[in-house]
Amino acid sequence: MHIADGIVPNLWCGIAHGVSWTAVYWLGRKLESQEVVRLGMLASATFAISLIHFPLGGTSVHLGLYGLNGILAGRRAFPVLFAALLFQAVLFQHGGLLSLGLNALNMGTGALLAAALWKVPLKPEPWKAFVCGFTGILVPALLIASEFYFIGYGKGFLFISVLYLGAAIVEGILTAAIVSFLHSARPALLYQRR
Amino acid sequence: MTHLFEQLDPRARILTILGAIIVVASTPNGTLGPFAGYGPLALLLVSTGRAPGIYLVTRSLAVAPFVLLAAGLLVFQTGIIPATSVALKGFTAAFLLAFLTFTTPLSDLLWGLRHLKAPESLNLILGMMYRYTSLLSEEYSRLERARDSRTTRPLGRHRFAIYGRQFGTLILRSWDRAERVHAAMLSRGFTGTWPVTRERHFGARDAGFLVLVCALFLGARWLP
Repeated sequence: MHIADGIVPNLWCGIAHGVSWTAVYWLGRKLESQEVVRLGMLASATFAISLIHFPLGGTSVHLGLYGLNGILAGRRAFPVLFAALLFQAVLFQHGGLLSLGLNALNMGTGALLAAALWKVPLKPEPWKAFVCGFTGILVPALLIASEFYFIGYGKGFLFISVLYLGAAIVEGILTAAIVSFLHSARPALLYQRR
Repeated sequence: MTHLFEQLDPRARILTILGAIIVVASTPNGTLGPFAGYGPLALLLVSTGRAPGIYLVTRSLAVAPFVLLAAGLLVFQTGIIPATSVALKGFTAAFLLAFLTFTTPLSDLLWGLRHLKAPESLNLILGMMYRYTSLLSEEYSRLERARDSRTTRPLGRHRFAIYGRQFGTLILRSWDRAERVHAAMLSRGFTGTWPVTRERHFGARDAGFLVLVCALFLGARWLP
């Protein structure tokens, strides 16, 4: 789901970089030193988890955890995801330097939406967590599909994004499972003011 | 022996590769001529470092699924030549980025980003990720080993709950570790920014290399 360099016009990438860097600066300002360490650890943990492929139905899948980032880091999820995407681009060539801004915008939007949804006072919480995890994957997939439609790649990506429904359901179920565990083991972690 | 590219200031290395990628990506879809120049230029650039070719090719293929998908869709919209140019742009950019990654240690890349005035919050998070990602990956491996050594049956229909608890445990452990790390950092005088361990100088050679590489790629950009 990471857009590679050279696929999207430079103008789009430039604008997305501008918006993303502004968002990283704006949403990451006034970080206290303790919060930095926690966010760094959270970024490392979610990044490590996202590298794990686990077997499912004869194939293997890995998680993005954008929704969970939104739940745990709130608005700080954007700089956290930006850092994780930069890491993935540099270490594994997933995505690219030029498309980093656009990738961050797509996935960061999913995480920020999940953060907003998590604040809605609804119960039961595992269901809310499912919706957050589901949204965290499906929204970026739809954004990418729309971008490719407008650039002129046709409707192919729109159809492909439907395939992400399955991934979004898996991500939702696992986000709900993680949140249920954290709720029983350390509920304070889920309800911090950010 | 240290090669020329590795002697450059990390900022110059980042900007050189970024500049080359921008030029390559700006090639209009459906134009194949410039790639006759980009290819030799990319090889020439690679010869200034010590990156093995097989590594660069393997790494470039990491973008294959997305690039080929995009190119495949474009075949139906505009034809084979624009699709080919999109694929070539994607692979060339990944090749150049792989070269930067191999020749520049992550610590130098982070140093370069910091000194290119990236937001401090990003630098701090990246610094923490650089230190702890592999550590937490090992921690997860230990969790998996512990689970496997205590499980006799396949995970079955409870697998999501099991994975959820395992991932949750890793997050909890990382959170607890953050408390200890923060206390240790404070005891060493951490004030909210990473200390600069060494100073570097962006000199004439760095600027010259950056301008030369970008100019050569720009020249190739106009090949018919």
